[in-house]
Amino acid sequence: MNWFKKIYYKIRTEYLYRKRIKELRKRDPFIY
Amino acid sequence: MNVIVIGDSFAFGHGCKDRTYFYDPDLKEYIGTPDFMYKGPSEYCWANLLQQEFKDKIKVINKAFPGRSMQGMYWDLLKAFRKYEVRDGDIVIFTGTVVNRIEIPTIHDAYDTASWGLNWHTMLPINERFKNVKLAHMNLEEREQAQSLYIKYLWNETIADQQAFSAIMSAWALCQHRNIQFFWSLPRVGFYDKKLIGTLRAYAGKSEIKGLLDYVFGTTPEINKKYRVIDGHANDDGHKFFYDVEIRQMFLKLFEEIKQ
Repeated sequence: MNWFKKIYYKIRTEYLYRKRIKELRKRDPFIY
Repeated sequence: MNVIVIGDSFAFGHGCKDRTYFYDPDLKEYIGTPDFMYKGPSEYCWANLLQQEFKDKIKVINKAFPGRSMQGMYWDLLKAFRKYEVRDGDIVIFTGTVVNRIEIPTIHDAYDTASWGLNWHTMLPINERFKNVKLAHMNLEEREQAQSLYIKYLWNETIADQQAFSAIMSAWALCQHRNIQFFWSLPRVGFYDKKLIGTLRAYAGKSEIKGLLDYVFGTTPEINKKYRVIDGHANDDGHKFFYDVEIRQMFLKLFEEIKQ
């Protein structure tokens, strides 16, 4: 894997994680 | 006639005055104790209102539990079928929940499972949520790291959809097979893939009902405020309102069909 793809996937994974957490909080605002 | 109610906190009655437990952001502490969930469903929940009104006609078995995932609900249904004698014409009300909850081992017993909403561990700091929990065998911080890493690397929206969809379809199929009437609801947020709800409706569309969550989070702010407690769950009035407009009507119709 070349250096560009490595950095690209790392940033993408991080971005998706943050996006997911935001979306999850909106979808399920209830604890229990 | 048995009526088996499967669901999460909204069918359980979390938020009613005998099942109060929420985090107060102003006082910065919890009101109530987490053991409310082991006391059984609330006296004021819609399932109990149904039982009270049609005491002589039906027996309501409420297997709802706070925070349940869809897979957990399917498991609840299987357990209920194993425990109670269900007959032709009995009713199952499957009040579905958001799809982003999964089953994981509990903090107390590695061989027992509990539902986990994927966002829960991010909502409050760890020492707030596990204030009174003392565990010698588990590093809770490490567990939370694992949860975050799970969301980051091992989970995606398609998996959530697949798990939830297969759970509700399995419940429907099981009831079809046993000749049991199956009613279901899903919150408006539904599946990530919007096409899936169409597939579900193609099979079981006739028996869809509107869930309590959608009434409490309805479009009119007056309704929202009146029928909700601070953490967003439905209060006693919310349950009564939902029972009157949805469940009661549904059962009156059912009884009329049976008469004919």
